[in-house]
Amino acid sequence: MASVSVSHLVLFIASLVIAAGVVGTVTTGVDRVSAAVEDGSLEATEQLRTDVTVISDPAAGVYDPGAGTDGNVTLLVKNVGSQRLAPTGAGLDVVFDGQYVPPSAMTGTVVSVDGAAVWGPGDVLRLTIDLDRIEGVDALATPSDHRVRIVVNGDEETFPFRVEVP
Amino acid sequence: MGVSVSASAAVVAAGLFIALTTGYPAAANGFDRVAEGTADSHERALDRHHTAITVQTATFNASGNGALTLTVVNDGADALVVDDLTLLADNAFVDVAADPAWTSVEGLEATGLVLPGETLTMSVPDDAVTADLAGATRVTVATGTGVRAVAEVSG
Repeated sequence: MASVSVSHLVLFIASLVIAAGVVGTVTTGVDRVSAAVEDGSLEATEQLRTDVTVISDPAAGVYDPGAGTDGNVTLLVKNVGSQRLAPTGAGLDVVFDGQYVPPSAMTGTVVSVDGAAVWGPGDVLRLTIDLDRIEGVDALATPSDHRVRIVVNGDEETFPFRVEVP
Repeated sequence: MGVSVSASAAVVAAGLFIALTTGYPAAANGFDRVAEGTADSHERALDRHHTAITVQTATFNASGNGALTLTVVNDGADALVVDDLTLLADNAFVDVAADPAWTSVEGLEATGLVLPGETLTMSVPDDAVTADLAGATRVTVATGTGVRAVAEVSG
């Protein structure tokens, strides 16, 4: 009779240990999924709220051949979304004529607000691309067609322009 | 035996309840965030569809005042906020909002709204801004939604 009670006790403890193990595994899994859902939703919201557009006039001379050896390309980019972005243009991925523009080759300044701490909705960023610092790009010939592609938080903008004969 | 099953079932039920109370808020908040972002995106797209502008005239020093003068017509269905507009002379930013006296709507300086069909007049003195207005050949006006209109400067 005592052996039955002992075996019942062993089974009771074993069932509790197994149940606790199952619960631990499930709660850990749910915690991980919750954190991933949180991160995913934040990222998705940033992408949905981000919208920028290049407002420069392609025919108004965005290329300055006199700056440095190869010249500069200056674009004015307006934040038409509701997401606040970095005021220096950090976070922008820029491709010029198929060549990646490293962050060291571009400078960004918010021109619509003095000393802006953020590139907020409605603000205009002046983005200057220094062609001297892009590998595989020389001074732009006249006339010639070019394309600048800007990607920020998944929002893509393409700006084609032509360098006219002066 | 029955006690073992009941006890372990109770432990599992409690664990699932705890997991649910952790998981549900994360899922609900995430869904709300994405739904708000989607609605915001659709709202902006609708605003953009309702926005249209035309630069009717762009002149420099036409009346001998040394100013770049533009007339912009709101051809869209939405009202435009003057402070949201961006003016570029060639490829240089011009801060039109720096002085409220530089803009007027249908002759009225005390308003910041351009209603559908109304004409906004901008008159920016060359010596008051850093951009070279005297040498500008083209101007661009962009609305807050990113809709643009360009014109050549005459005079």
